[in-house]
Amino acid sequence: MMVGRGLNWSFCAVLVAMLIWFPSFTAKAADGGTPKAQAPTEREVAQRLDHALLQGHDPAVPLPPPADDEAFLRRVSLDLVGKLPNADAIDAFVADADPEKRAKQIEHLLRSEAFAVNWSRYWRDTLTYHTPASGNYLRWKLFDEWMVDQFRRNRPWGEIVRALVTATGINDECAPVNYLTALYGNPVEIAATTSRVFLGVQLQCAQCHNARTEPWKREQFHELVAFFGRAKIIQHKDVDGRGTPYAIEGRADGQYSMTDKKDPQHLIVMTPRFLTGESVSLEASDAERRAALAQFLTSPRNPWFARSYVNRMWTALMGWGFYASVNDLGSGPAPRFPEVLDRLAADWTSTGYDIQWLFRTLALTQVYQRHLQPRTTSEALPMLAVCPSRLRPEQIFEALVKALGFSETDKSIPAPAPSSAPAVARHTGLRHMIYQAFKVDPSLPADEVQGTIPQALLMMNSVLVNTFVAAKGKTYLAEALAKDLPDEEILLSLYERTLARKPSTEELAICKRYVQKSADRKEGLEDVFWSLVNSTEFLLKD
Amino acid sequence: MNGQAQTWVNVRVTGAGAVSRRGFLRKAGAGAIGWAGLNWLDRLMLHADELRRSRKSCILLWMAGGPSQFETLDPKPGAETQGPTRAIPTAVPGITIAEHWPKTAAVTDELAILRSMTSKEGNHGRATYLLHTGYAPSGGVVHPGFGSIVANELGPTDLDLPRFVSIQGESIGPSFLGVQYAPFVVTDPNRPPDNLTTPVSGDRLQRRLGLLSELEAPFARNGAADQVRDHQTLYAQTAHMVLSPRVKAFDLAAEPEKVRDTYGRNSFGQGCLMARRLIEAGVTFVEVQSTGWDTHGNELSTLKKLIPPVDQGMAALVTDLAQRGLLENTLVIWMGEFGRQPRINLTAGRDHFPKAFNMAMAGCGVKGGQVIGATDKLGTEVVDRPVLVADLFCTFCQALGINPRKENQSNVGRPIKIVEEGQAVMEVFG
Repeated sequence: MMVGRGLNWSFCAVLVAMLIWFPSFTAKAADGGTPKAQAPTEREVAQRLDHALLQGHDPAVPLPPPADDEAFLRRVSLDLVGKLPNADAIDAFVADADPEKRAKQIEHLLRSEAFAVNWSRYWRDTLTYHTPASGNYLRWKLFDEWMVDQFRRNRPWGEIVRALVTATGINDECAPVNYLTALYGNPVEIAATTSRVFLGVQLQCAQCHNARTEPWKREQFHELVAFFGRAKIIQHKDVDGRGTPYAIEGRADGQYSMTDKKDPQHLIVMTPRFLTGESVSLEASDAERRAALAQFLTSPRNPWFARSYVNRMWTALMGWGFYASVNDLGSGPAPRFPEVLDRLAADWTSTGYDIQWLFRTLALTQVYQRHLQPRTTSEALPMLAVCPSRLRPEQIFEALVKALGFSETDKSIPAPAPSSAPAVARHTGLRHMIYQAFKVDPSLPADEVQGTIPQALLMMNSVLVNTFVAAKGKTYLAEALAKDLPDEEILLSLYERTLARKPSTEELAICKRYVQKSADRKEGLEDVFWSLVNSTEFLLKD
Repeated sequence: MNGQAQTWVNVRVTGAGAVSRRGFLRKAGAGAIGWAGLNWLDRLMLHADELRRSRKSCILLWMAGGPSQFETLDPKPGAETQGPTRAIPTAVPGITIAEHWPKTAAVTDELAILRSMTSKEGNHGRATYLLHTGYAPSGGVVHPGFGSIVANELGPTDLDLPRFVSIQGESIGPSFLGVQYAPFVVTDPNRPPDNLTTPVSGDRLQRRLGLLSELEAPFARNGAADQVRDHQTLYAQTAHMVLSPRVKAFDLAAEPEKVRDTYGRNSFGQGCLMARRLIEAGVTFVEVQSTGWDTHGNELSTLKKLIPPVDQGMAALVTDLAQRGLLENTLVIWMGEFGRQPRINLTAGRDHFPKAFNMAMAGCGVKGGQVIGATDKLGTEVVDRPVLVADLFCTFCQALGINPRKENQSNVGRPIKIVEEGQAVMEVFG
């Protein structure tokens, strides 16, 4: 069925315009979150967090020492902007005597375009990782650009979520509607994903039966689905050769029904009702249903919305969270420090869901600024320091660009294209090659993200890595050797390029010895460079 | 090669140990420290060979896009829904298939043809997931693909090749089973996989790995011991593959020209040949994909290009496996995500039709030369022995000796059965 585009686009435009003109629409509509002026400052909250988490700490277990400036700068740069700092920035930061330099650095990073890009990619991947949707159902470029813009403007999280669940229109033109078309406009999948990602509530088991491990009844899942019961996906005409676009439209009538388990022929009409018990009538239109859902979702009275976001961001920055899984605040093991999470979630809610506020707060804590702790001993030091986690695919790409010094558009390096899989072809060329090799669901716990053989093959044997670690052509090593730099200076530089830090005395000694033992000095240095790029540390945020 | 690998293995093992906290090579790692380098590897490989002799494996020939039953294995001669494609006799009296499949017709005595598949998923993404996992997609639970399941159930833990290889397509991943059961994807079977060979000499690669191992030690001591150990385990597995003589399984240049010709000089045919080589080398599950079966328009001209390579490749594979004595322990599956509409549309194509479609399988105890189930005269309804996707997956499990009700712990905190419902179609086994 084909529907004219003008109407849909204007509907979407009106919605977007409303949100632009009334930026605090969500926070106010959601029964008046406290105005931003009364929200506690980031520094107060960071101090309170550190104090609360130290309660009950066994003094017999030593705390990890504070992270040095290099380690802090690498960590916070990867977390906020997804890139390694370059050598000059490292030197300047280490030399800076300003006691406020870490806070200033956090601020500097939060205001950069790279911050918006880094976090928009995190969310794009979180929302779309599991859908096999083709580019027709997910206009990834438009969706990407929209996501970047949300973070660039520091739009409140509640508003972003509202825009996603209420989006109506054609996915060629209305960017947020791609969240819904990427899930094929399927109410069951949309409800399950919305609940998992925005609330940390796993409801989909209740789709078929009353969940074994959670309080949810089967009806409750289907009542949530009913909010999307009048949203319908419509195929449009491909007018400009970009592939068939899809739209989400409201249907005038019809109800979402659940199969009666006792009599499969019998369908039970479901009233849209949220997990907190709030509902709308069966007569409500699609727009009314989804607007109501957005309000219930983002309401300060909803106990999951802020807690799930705070737990997720804490997990992304610290390597582990209050809950073991960002997807599941219900059925898993009991959370650590639930009262600390509740308080932090309440403070964040009082900011009107200010995204940057939370990043600032977390990055200012001593927890964040301590030396890393091994995951194996983490239970002895619950939540008191960062555990290592693996870089996300585009962070790995940026780290490779910095370490190897190649250009993203270098056509002389082969970037074998993966097959035409349903996975979204998000990029082309070298970035795509790295993205495909390292792609991972951002919702996975850090200790479940593991390497694969093709990744190791790529780092070990690829033309990309081996061309740029070689002392030949236009490469760092070729230039360094041409300048006749001494081993030590080259080795320091290799460490800064790849790991954004200087080598320890021990590491420098190992490398020097290796180079001196090598029959060919040039080959020795190439081998050091190769080893650093292939190291565990290169792929880790520590 | 032996001397080379030995140097490096010793460095690795003394540098950081080889015991993974996830049990990856766990048994081997502890013993490895006391054993001398490659001897350890040799023993593992010998052991793997012994296990393989009793183990079963599987090759999935995946027709991405949804192959039409009318133009494949369930033609309806004379029916208004059939279109111009005629039916031809096969090696088995009484069984006819579409005329585009003469080579497959000659090996029909090895095939069990199921003409009564039925499902509700008519969307490519959802149906592909269903026909790869046995489950319809459902939000947060991500089910492992059947390739990963079989690799997990039947694959030797210490093979120096990946246990699951997917050729010309990504297949479906391992989900909660873990990355060691992820498909190793070969994008183009006409050449060995990307980055499989070292650009430096084997000696130098080992020197590099030795240096890497030495440089990792301070980082491991500094709080990242687990990560370093996992990384080194992965690098060990990868380097073993790169340096292994078995890696030649990926290189079709080692096959006689005549054999390569028999399989067909095209990506699908060569993919089937690579599948046979990989199964021989000890790989547990190989998927070979053929794309382009989504024939909404100009169906016949598309199929006339698409079918011959698949006809030739599948027939050559079944014949070759049988001649080498591999067919009795190798399950070969031919299928796609759904069938196509009986009604031919205005652009001379057929649209999606999950309600009634067909598939075929051979080997691993499957009784060939039979047809199971039937659709009506027009191909619009299943009229005999409807088979649901869960039934089909139970049948695969039956052939491979896997308990379909075995539970694996999932990512959402509850166990998931390999196949939740359904019963094996026992007629398949005669």
